[in-house]
Amino acid sequence: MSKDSLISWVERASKLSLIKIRDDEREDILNSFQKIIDFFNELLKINVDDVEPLFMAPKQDGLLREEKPEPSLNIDDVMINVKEKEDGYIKGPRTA
Amino acid sequence: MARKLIREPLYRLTQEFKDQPELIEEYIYQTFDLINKVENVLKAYITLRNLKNINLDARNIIKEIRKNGYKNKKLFGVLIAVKDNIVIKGIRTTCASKMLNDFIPPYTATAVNKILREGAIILGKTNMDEFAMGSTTENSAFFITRNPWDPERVPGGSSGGSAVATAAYECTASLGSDTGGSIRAPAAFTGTVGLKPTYGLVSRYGLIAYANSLEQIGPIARTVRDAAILLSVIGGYDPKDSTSLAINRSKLDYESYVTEEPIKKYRIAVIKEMTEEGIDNTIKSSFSKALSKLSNEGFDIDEVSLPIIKYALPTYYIIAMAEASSNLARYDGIRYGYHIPVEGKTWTDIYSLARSEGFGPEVRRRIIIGSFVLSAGYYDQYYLRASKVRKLLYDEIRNLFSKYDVIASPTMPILPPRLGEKITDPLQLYAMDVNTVVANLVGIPAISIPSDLIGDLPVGLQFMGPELSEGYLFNLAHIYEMKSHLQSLVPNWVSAHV
Repeated sequence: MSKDSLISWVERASKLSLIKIRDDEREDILNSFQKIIDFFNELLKINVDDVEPLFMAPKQDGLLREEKPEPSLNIDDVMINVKEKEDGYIKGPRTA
Repeated sequence: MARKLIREPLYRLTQEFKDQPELIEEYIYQTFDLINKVENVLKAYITLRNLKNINLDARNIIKEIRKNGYKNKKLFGVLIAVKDNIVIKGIRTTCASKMLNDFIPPYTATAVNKILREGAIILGKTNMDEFAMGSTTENSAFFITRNPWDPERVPGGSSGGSAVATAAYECTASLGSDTGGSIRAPAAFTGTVGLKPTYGLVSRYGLIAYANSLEQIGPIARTVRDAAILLSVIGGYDPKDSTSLAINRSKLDYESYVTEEPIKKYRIAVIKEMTEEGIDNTIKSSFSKALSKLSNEGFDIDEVSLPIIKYALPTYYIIAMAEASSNLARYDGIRYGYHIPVEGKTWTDIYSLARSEGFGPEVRRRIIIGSFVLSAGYYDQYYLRASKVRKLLYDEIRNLFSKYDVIASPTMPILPPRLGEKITDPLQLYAMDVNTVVANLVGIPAISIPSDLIGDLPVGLQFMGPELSEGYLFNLAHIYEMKSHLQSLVPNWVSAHV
């Protein structure tokens, strides 16, 4: 991957994941990303034509519990982790 | 001075406490005395519960058995440490991240509820690599944990705190989690027993997700029997985790497999690709010695070649990072976690600032790369391709298990590195997982047991078996443990205090 396209995808991925890259760490991140992508590119050597992907361990019983209401979490126990709240609501930024 | 109760394995403690529950108090006192002597250097715990609350728990469980009878509680009075990515209601749970620095969970993980029901006492929450991303416990946002065999070396990770607390007798056994080796790596480096269960054997409810298709909660202990008892407690179906397997409780009696005689004449495969490239010479020769011991027990051992193994590591990292980017999308800093005041900012500002400041460098790296391998244009080339290689790997391992019962390998390719030696180069760090990631990709169980001491440093031996073969793995591991006399090891550095 060329340096320009590396920079552009790192910026895109950083936007997608809402994680900013600081100027002082940019060079270091680009270097390590290049190495990691080269390492991933090892997989391009394998023929995977006609192979079904495996996304989860295949041994699954797929049991679903009965759909019946149960007591939910205690609101006070949940809200203890909220830093900005008003009248029992979680406060977020104003939507323009 | 009273006898050292903390030296006792779990299975003996519960028997002693059954007859003399008042010994629990002495045992708690001895454990805290030891912690006071070693913890300032080792730093296994992020949160240690205070002695008063622990004594209160002890009095409550004694009161309960006096009222309702002992009922064979498997962990009665035993102090257990829990990795800090497993939630316990009301006890700070951080994932060793600034993101969750002051997070107080509103519920308790199923695995923890199960150990509490069997009479265990939770001692505290242990240090780890941030969000379980690392193999040395140096990625904790708070502090590093040191190896009790040599405090200048890493203890392995990411469940380094749990393994060190267990190895250094700062608890009797512990819970860790294993996404690509995070139980087995620190078990190998600290001379303890660690098991990654079959995917779905242990409920993940309350395990803070990193890569959900790969990870499992599992036991770390100083003897195979203790690990077997702990797994029999935490295993089993949980309606709160739809990926947990419907297993009859009678199948979970792993202690019955811990016998001196082999239950099976194990056919053992050694995959050439797991013993050659990237494996240190000291580890190679130690592994040969381990194989001789197994062969002396009358087990057949064959070397086989499985070239696809060399692709397991990049496959694992693509999948783990992809899943991490998705699982960690929940951290917004608004409902819980690292908070940015909302006044005058937009949603995007808040999310970006909280996530950029709250996550450490390795977590940010994995999320960004994970977003890349899932993004339009690269999904087919990376994530989808990796998932296909995962299928090929699964088929080949399954095929191998039609001829063999167990795959043996060194757990780790190297001895525990010195602090700071690996942490600067991500690829060197990832390479440490070369033999452990296979079990996670394929969903099969794998155990690491102490197989040797080189100088004063422990070496781990790994056995993998087909799905739900944990009983046989414990059986074979116990036979090895008996022959090698490598159980309940005491690291030199703590021996003066134990």
